[in-house]
Order: sequence, then structure tokens, then C-alpha cells
Amino acid sequence: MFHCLERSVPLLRFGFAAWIVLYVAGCSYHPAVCGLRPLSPDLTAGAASDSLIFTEIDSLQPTLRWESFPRPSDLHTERQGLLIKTARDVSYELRIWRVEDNSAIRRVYERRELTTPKYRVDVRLDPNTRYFWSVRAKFRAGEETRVIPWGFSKVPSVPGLVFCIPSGNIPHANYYRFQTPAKEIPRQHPLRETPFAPPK
Amino acid sequence: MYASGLYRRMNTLSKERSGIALLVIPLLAVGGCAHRMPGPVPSEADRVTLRIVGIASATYIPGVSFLVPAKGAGQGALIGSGTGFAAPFQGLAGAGPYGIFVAAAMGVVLAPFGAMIGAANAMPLEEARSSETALRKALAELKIQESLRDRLIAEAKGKVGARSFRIVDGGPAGPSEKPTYAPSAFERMDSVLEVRCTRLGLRTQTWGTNPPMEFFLEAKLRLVRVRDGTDLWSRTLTHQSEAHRLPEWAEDGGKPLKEAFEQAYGEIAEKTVEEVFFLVPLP
Repeated sequence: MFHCLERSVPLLRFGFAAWIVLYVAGCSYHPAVCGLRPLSPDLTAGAASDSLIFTEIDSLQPTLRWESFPRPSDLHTERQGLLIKTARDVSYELRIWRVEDNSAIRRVYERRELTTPKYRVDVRLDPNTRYFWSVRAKFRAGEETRVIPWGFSKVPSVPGLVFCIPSGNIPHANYYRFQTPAKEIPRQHPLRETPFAPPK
Repeated sequence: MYASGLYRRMNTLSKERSGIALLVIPLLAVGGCAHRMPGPVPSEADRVTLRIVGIASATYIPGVSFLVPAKGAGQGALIGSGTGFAAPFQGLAGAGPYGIFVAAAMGVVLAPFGAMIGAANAMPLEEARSSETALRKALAELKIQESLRDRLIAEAKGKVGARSFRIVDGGPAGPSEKPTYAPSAFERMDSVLEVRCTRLGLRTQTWGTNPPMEFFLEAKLRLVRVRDGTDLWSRTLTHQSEAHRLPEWAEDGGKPLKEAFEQAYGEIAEKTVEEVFFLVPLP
């Protein structure tokens, strides 16, 4: 037993060192989402604390991009597969909330009937402010109008999550997020901008 | 000899029975003899049947809460000492028996400090009582259940015009009451959407006098098929607002509080209508 403990010490040391490195270096990852994945600004979570990061953007009128609907995975969904396969007249709805403090958020912006999975916010947001945002798809199936759930991160873990419909609070604390700059940062080389590749 | 035979027989029977039970229980559960749990949203087949929907609101006054970390120096001291005692355990929880011993020793030292800090930073009892009384008085005059119901009907009529929505009686008369909507009494309805505001109020986790407090409103909603009393959908939704200090909530004749109510009614009504009629769940 003592021998076993002795052998596990280097392993524990390595684990602890790796955790410290992750914590200090601020490593992040792309958490799983419910709904349409945001492409820009990106959704990231801190590896050490599993908390979502407010991605710093460079404009007070950001262009938000997200996955288009239906996604390949939606077409292979058994449960509502038929409904989604027949989806037509797809449009998107976008909402932005201002984060007033750590817990309370207030909806400040909403657009409906967006025909493409990207949108440049057409009002100036407040500088140096934290915002939540989310999108969802609306479509017609047969004679009926249907919507999918508002997109949100599965990290931090959401208790009671069933089929991407979180139980409980409105608005939800796991929406996508960004932070506006203190002032507008002019883009130097807009033509050289590399397109964002979604995480695999 | 006979006894041992009987024992063997009983043992065999028991094994056979347990085998049968193992087969039957899942069959019963899958076959529908078990209580049917409502899905995250009504199924498409159920949605087709929602042609005439009765909206029944609760008839009781919802609970009003005024939630602060501590009311008065006594409660503040109690909570503070508890927090002071418990704090070292969080840091040393994984350190084994020695860690627990150290944590307990540190807790004993920290508890009186926690009590002092708690007593000094708790909301004064008089302030807590007067604020709570004022809040209850202001909210008692509001027709919260009816307002939530009416907002829900307006939202439903605006978004699901092809269906018919009617106010019906028979909603819950008390917090623990779960009414049954008998076909004889609701013969013209396909289903009843039950709406109840369960509690509301102001809350904060900030210590001290006159802290910023957020308004919250919790509602329970249930869609019941009249024909057989099956719950097709049920949800508990809580709206929480941005935080204001009490004088700010009371400004301009309580306008910020009224706006928070309207926002809560709107958000809950919108989410309810969407989940009942439009939302497609994703895996």
C-alpha cells in the first residue's frame, strides 16, 4: 500500500502542476451548447473554473454570427426529425441583454425575421459593458410555425436540462456573452481578416 | 424432509415470481400503467388537439418574500458565527482527519469574529420589518393572479390566433391545491392551462442597510387535457429583474416596481405560449 502511495505522488504532483498551469495561463475551451452555436464572438469557458468568459470585441456595433439552421444533426434527429426536415421559411431571432451586475440582466435589443445567420447590431452599445446574447431559428413546418430553443452554453452545468429546455429562470444565466471595448477600435486590415472556423 | 421440500418449493416459486416481476415491472412502466410524466413540451399530436383552451388562474394571494442575508443584529450574529465556523472546513475539507481538526480549531476562533461582522452588517431589524410591511401592503392591492392570466391570454391570442382561449373558473384556491378539471364541468374545452403565481418579492445576497434588491416572481403553469385529466406540460418559471435599492423601487409612485411586474408577466407569458404551442425541443 505504501508502495502504491509512493508511486502515485508524482502523478498527483503532475496533476496539481497541470491545474496550476491551466489556471495561471488562463486556458480556455469551447463548451458544448444547446441551440445554434455562436461563431463570432466565440464562446469560451475557462478550463480551470468552467466559467464562461466575456469575449472582448472591438466594436460597439458588433457583427454577430452563428450556425445556420437546420444543422446536419437536426436533420438526423429522430424525435422531431420529420418536422425539421420539412422546415422552410427559416429566419432567425436575436436578443441582447445588458448585464447590470453579477446576477441581473436586462433585455436591451431584439431583432426578428433575420434571413442570414449573421447580423451587425444597428445601434451603438454602451462601451466597456458586459452583454449576453442569444439566437434561435424560426421556421414553418406544414402550416405551423415552430421555433427552436434560445441558444445557451451547457457550461456551467445546467440542472434539470431536458432536450435543451432549461428549467427555471428567465432570462437564463448561460447565454452567450461579450464585452464591449472602452472605445471603438478601428480595424487596420479589414480585407485580411481571416474567417472564423467553428471548433470541431 | 417435508419441510425441506416445502422450503425448496417456496424458494423456486419465489425465484420464478421475482423473474416474472422483473419482466412485468418494465413492461408496466413502458406500457403506460405507470404515471405519465409530461414531456418538456406538448407533443405535436397533443398540440393538434389544442383548439379551445381554458385559462384558469389561481384565486389565492401569492406568498410575498423579503429575503435578505440577515434581519437584525441577533440573526446577523448567528449567521455570521455559523459562516465563520464553517469557512475553514471548505478550504480544508480534502485534507483528511488532521485537516478537519485544524478546520474545527480555526472555526472556533473565527466564529466570534463572524458573529461580530454579521451583527454589524445585518440589515437593522426595524428597517427589515418596515420594508417588509410596506412591500406586503403594496403588493396585497395588486391582482397578481388575474394580471398574469390576462397577459397570458393576450400573448396567446396575439401569437396563436387560430385557437380559442377562454377564462374559466376552477383554478387552485390554495398553494397546495391541484384541481382536477372534470369533463362534465369543462365540456367545451379541449384543455385547461392553469396559471398560478406562487411567490414573489424582493431579494438580495448583499449584507447591510438599504442593499440593492432584485424583484423576482415565480409562476407554476400546467396544461391539462380535460378528456382524461392528463398533464400535457408543466413548468415552474422564475423571472428576476435588475437590482434597485428600496427607495429607487418606490420612486415615482412605485413605477420601477410596476415595470418589473409587467416585464415578469410578459416574459412568463411569452415563454409559456412558446413552449405550449411552438417550441421544438433539441437533443
